[in-house]
Amino acid sequence: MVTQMLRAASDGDPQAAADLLPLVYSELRKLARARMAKTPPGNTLQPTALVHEAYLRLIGRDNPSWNSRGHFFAAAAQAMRQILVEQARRKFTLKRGGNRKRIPLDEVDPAIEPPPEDVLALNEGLTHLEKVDPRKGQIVMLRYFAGLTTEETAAALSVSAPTVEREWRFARAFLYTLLANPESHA
Amino acid sequence: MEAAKVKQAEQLFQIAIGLPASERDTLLAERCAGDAGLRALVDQLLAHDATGMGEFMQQPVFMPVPDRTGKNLDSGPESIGRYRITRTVGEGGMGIVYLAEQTEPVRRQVALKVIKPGMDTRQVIARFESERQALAMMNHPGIAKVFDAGVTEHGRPYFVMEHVSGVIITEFCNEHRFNVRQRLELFRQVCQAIQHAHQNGIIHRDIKPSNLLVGEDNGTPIPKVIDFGVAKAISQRLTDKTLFTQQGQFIGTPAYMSPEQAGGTGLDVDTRTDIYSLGALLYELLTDSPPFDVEKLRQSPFDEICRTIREEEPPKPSTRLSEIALAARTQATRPSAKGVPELARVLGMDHRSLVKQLRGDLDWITLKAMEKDRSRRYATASDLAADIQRYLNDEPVLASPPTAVYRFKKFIRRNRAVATGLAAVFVVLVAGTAFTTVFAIGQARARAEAEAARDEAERQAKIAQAVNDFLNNDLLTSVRPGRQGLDVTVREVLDRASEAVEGKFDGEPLVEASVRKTLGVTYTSLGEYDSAEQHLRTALDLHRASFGEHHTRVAASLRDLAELLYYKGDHQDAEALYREAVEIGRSLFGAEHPDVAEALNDLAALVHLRRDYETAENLFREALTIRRKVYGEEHPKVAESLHNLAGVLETLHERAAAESLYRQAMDMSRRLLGDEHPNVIYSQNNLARLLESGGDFQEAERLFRAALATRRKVLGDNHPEVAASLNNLANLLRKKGQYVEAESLASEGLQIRRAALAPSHLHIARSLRLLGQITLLRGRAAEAEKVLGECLDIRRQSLPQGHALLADTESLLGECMAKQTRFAEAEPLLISSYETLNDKLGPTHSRTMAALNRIVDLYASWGKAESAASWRARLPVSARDAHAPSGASGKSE
Repeated sequence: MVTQMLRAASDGDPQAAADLLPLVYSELRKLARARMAKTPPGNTLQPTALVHEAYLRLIGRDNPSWNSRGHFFAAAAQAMRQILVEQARRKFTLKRGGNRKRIPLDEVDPAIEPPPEDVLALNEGLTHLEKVDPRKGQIVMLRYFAGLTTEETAAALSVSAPTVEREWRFARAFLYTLLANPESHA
Repeated sequence: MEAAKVKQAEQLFQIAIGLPASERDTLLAERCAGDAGLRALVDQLLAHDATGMGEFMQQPVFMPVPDRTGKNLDSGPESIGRYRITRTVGEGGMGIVYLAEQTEPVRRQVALKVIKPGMDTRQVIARFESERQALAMMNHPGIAKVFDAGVTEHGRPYFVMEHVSGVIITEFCNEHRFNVRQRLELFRQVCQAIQHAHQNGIIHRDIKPSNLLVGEDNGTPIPKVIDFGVAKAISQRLTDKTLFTQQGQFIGTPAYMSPEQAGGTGLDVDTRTDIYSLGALLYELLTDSPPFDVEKLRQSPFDEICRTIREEEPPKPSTRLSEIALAARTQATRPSAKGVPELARVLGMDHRSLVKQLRGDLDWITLKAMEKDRSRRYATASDLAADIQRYLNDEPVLASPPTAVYRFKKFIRRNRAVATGLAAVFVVLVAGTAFTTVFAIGQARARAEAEAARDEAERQAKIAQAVNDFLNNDLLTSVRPGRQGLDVTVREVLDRASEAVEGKFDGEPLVEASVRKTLGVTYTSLGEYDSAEQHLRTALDLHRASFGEHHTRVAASLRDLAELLYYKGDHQDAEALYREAVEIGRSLFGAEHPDVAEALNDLAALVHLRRDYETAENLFREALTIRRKVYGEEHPKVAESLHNLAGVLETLHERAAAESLYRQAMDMSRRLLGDEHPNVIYSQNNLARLLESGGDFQEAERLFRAALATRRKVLGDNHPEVAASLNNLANLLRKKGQYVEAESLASEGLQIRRAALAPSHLHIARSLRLLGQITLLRGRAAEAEKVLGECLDIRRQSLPQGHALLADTESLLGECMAKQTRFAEAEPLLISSYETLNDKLGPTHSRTMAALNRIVDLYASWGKAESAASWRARLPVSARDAHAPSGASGKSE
């Protein structure tokens, strides 16, 4: 079923792409929880590993073309981003002493330690970048949130690796600049 | 911030990061005039980019487990440079090797080798940088790529290489119980990898088992050579200082080190150093022991190690096996004694039949590769591989047991201090064994006979000189270019002379050699390379047979032949011959001699061709200094040196210095040699090219036309150098928009080159490119496509995949398709070739921008205005308005 959705998504069906996200999202959360229980202390999990494992579980090994794999990883990146942002928002509200309502245990997201970057600000900056230059947004999504390499990102977006490198370099400087001067968004 | 502003900022950002900081300001001041906000944004982007922004977004988001204790502490540093250390792989004499992860610009696993203290880090890095381009050219499955070098925070140099998982070749063979044939197969593959490196101008210098790792791919063993470029960077030549670190540790591997690396010969290492080490490797593969006793070497003082390597002959591999067998039997109680029984057991055979298998061909192949005198080794790694293949095919091998005379010569060389004359040789030898005495007396007689023969030869040389003078002065020189004069059809005279020379001089080798030399050199200057080669090779053989290896006549013959090979495009062989000629000259006359300068000069020209500009500049300067000392300030040879030096400086972008040197060279040559001398034309052409690239088309055209006229007059209409002049002029006219004349000149140049050069010669491709480009400009796209397709075929034959010249041709081909409205076919070709050019030459290179323009044109003609606009936006603002299709610059020659 997921494979079909992928095909539809890569054929340009936006609904299929949207349908994919929740599946990937819940799968990633499940996997992360399972991994955390098994992983010995001192080791870290890279999203790459998780995302690839989710991919295998959802799609299997019949290896659709990179184009549709690209859609999967885009969905995975979106899921990772969403998980991190939600967590950061919750922390933010907790810190402010806001919502202290107890959350049912099995709905707790895996305790993902936030990356060193300011997730909420980064999320905002990235949303801005996506508006002015969608491809750079995709590059950031795939590299940073899905952990793809330059080559994988290039293959997923059907551009060359040097292009990915070049645009990544700019995107990183751009986001850094936005984060350094939050008022410059407008 | 609106999208347009971000786009604009990105464009400026991408251009600026390719510029030196000093030029950025000018660019930004110009492009951001009146838009302070844009300027501020770009400045900030650049400033953040320059700092690296620390860890910001360097790692993808992590999903750590709750507990962050238990960090791995014993795995060395966490990171070196931009490489994250994963673990330690090994520790060797030279340093520590880590497995590391690279994240920028690509994510991959690499091996990182940190050199132990005791080196001059700055020099190590400088030497690596000098070879970096050539290293990057190497592309062979048998060679581990070297990516980078750098300096750790403790100031130690490190090298970053492709990570290879494999087992050291000797261990691999033993673990897998490889028989002799399987070992030879593997060894042959190693030779081929080394050959590839040599063809790219890279010498390994430290071939040994631990630098040869064998991995398996679906059960097929794949050997890989690691550490290319490392040995050179670490030490140019082994000396007392470089051989030992401060801790007294041996860095090199004495058992595989060539005699010239062990010093004393005063020779630089060349590709034949690697041939020697390959021989030593083969020795170990066949006997399970290195050619010299490693333990004994390690315990010896430095001088003794070098002496051993320079002078001691290792036993034949078969003899070594017998020795080990004997030792194993007599010391059977020593558990560590590892002998033939062990190797034979590994190979699953009786040790006697193993000895028998090695005796003869395999002994001689190994020892020929390991000859002390490198001119007697296999000339190339592929020659060595070919001899192995002959053995495997049961064909006769080229290697043969050394002759008695040769052995005697070697004896004399080893004992030069004692054996200063025949009498002394007698005294020494009589004290030896009975066998040696008999041998020596026989040799002494042979030597006396050789002396007599040499007297005779000298007598003949006088005759030869007479014959040659006749040929030189009265007949042939009239057609040598430079002396203006007779009709070039004197080639007929040459052809007749060539026929006459066969069999005419039997018994008078030196007369024949002189005649052939003259014929060969004259054919060379007429561009008749095949005929020339035949004569020059025979002349060289004859000179060698008469004078031995070390003689000024042999050196001269080598230079003649090398020059021909250079013109023919056989650069590697030419380089080896020049180096041999330099060595002979130095050993005969010392450093300051016209012959040495001559060979240095020619050698430099070749080194320049393979883009080692720094070395080329030094060699040219060395030749110039010698020539000024020997000839004085005003001399044709000094002019030649000035011209050549100008060429390197031009390549190094020192335009003003280059222009001044070209003019000096041109004027001096003209004063001394007359207006029509080829050297005047060379300087004139190069000066014109320099002026053309500086935009002075008018003066450039005048000079190119003058050069063409002179060449036609002196060389006739069918000479390759006339073709070069035609191309130069045609390209300039193309730039000026005079397409009709440009086309006719370019196609004439192509015809000449097709007739004179090998079908796959790159000069033919060059003519094809120019002609295709002009045809395209004249609107005949289908025809241009055919021409450029042929150009691409030729270039693909000799250039590696991803080479800028290939991409450049592909981009032009894409334009041809687009012009014929085959848009969908053109699109991927245009884009991929643009990416390659952008990658290899940078975004501001004229060929990159031309390729970008072609994409814009494609979309514009395709009716995809949006795509056209977005690609157009990548062009620098100034180039957008002035953009003309097919604006690629051509290169003159």
